Amino acid sequence: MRPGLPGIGLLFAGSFLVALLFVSRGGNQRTVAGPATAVSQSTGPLAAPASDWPVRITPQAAPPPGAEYSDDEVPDVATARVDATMALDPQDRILAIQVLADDNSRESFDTLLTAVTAAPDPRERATAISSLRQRSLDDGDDVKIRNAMEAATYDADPLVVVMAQSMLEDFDPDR
Amino acid sequence: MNQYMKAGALSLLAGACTIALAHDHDDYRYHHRHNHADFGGQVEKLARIQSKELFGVYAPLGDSSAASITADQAHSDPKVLVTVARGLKVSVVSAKAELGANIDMMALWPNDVHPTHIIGCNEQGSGQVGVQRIRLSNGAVENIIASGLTSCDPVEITAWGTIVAGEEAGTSGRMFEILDPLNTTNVTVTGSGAATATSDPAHVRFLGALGQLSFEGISVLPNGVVYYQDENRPSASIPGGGYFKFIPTNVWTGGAAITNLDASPLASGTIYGLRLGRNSGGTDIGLGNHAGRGRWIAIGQSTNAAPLNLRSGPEVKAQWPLAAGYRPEDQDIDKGALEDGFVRVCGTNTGQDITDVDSDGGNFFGETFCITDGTPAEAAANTAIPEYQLLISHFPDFGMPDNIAYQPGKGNWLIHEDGEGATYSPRRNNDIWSCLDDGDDADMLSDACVKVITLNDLAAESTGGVFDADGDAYFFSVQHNVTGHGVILKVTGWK
Repeated sequence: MRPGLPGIGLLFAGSFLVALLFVSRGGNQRTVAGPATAVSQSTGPLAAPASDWPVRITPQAAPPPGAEYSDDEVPDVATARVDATMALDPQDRILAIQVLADDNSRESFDTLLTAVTAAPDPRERATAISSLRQRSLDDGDDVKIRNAMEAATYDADPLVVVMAQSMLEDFDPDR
Repeated sequence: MNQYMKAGALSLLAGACTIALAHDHDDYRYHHRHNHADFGGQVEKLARIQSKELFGVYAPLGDSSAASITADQAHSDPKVLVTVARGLKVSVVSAKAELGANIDMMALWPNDVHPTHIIGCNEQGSGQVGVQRIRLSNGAVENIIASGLTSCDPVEITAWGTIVAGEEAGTSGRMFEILDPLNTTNVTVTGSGAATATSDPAHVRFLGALGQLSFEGISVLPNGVVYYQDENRPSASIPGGGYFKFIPTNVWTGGAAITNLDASPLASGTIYGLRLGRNSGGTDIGLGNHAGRGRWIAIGQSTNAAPLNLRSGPEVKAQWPLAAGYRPEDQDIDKGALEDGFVRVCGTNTGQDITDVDSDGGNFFGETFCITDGTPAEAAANTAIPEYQLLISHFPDFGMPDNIAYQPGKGNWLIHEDGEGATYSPRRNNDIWSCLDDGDDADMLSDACVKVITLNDLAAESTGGVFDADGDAYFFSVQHNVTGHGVILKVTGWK
């Protein structure tokens, strides 16, 4: 037996006990998407890291050869407004938020504004900021965006905070 | 599944992940101990989150493809040779049996606004076809230079209505100029050096004025000033490939396309080599001074009758030290800078990435750099101070950068990886990355790069990328792919 293997055995034994505790406490409950209000509870891959735990890039498997993203899979604006808040898959919500960047309607603007602070996954909140930055703004929009960005600077996720601060600096370079 | 089974499964997963993490961190060359969050990782995530805004794709690719499709699969649908980032679309420009197997660089003809054809260089031996035209509407292929070129690699269109195409063939490499490329067919090239001849000299002519080297990256300004580089590796303390500038005797000032190659600005001029270092009266030169400002040093005039060897000939050696890179590959004009009235060309030094199982592997993963040279008029008068700066320091997943293309509109750089991923374990394909240029931040480096296209043929290489004028359509070749013939693809859908 190699010297490192007993340690690995202990590691598995320890993790088994932790996992058992987790399972016993209901950690296997299914989750469903719903109106999100508790930003601090988000646990996606971009959730704020503990200070002693490095953020890691989430590995992604490459799509199969020739895989393309069909136009049919990109929602139209009306669908995107719904998907942005109601789709079960976070990736679908993110895609919808990206689609709304290209629609200058008031409804889409309001949806994005809400997503900045209320979306459950930090990737959604960050993407909503990016989408807002791609839009042309109407009179008065900047005040609403500033308010949303000010709120987002208190986000639990550091990346959302950085993006919000960056957008605020776009409004006020001397900030 | 009861609770104990679930706990067992979770513990196995946790243990496996821990081992994976430990393995990932055991190479201290690339992963270092730190007591804080991985800030670089956060920056990479920021780029991914903003992929639509920054790169025009809904989501960039993650891991490179490990797939290697069969010839039958590729023949059935050549698009399967690649996988693209979410939001992009692939279509086949041509996969005809007569399309050169190693189509490399390409130019859109008659312009990049309403192109009807691609003019492509085929990087094979002198017995194979050298330059072809490919009709965009139906993929039909015809030979312009049928034989006589060795490793045809670069192709550019000129402002005076010609095509230039060159050989990546060491000190035997030559550049040729082609007039009327849609009606010039099956020309043959014979001889070498000063004895070079073509079967149709009125339409295909040796450009001895540019000298001889391993032609790869070449950028032709609208006024006829040419930037180019020698695809050469350092050897036994002899420098790698140099960076050169050609200033025409008669710069192009605009007007109708020429009808006689004698009228080409490339017919005669002076060649300069880049030397970096201006400090201490220009004496801080040589090894160690590999970036920053420099001078264009006159090497001389080269002619068809007496072409200069720009790698090791006496005229160039007399001017050493000159700046050199580890196999300078492609380059492209920063069209955004040119629109603003400035000259900036960006290129790649491919370096040498060899799998770690080879203890002699270099692990120099390459560089992308940019050279600025004042305004076009200053470049032609050689009155600007040239400056060479690093844009990207490459890394294992993005090793050995080769072809590079400026994306109009976005101002990004599409860069083709030509690394040795297929020799690693696990094997992986080469990719095409989209890189931001430098922004208004403090450093002068690219702000982020993401993977947008990955090959699905471990023996293939993507080459020759070129964008249309709007940056909406990207054309590239899948060289030496499994079909045995050329495949040119078009990628659209950039947001």
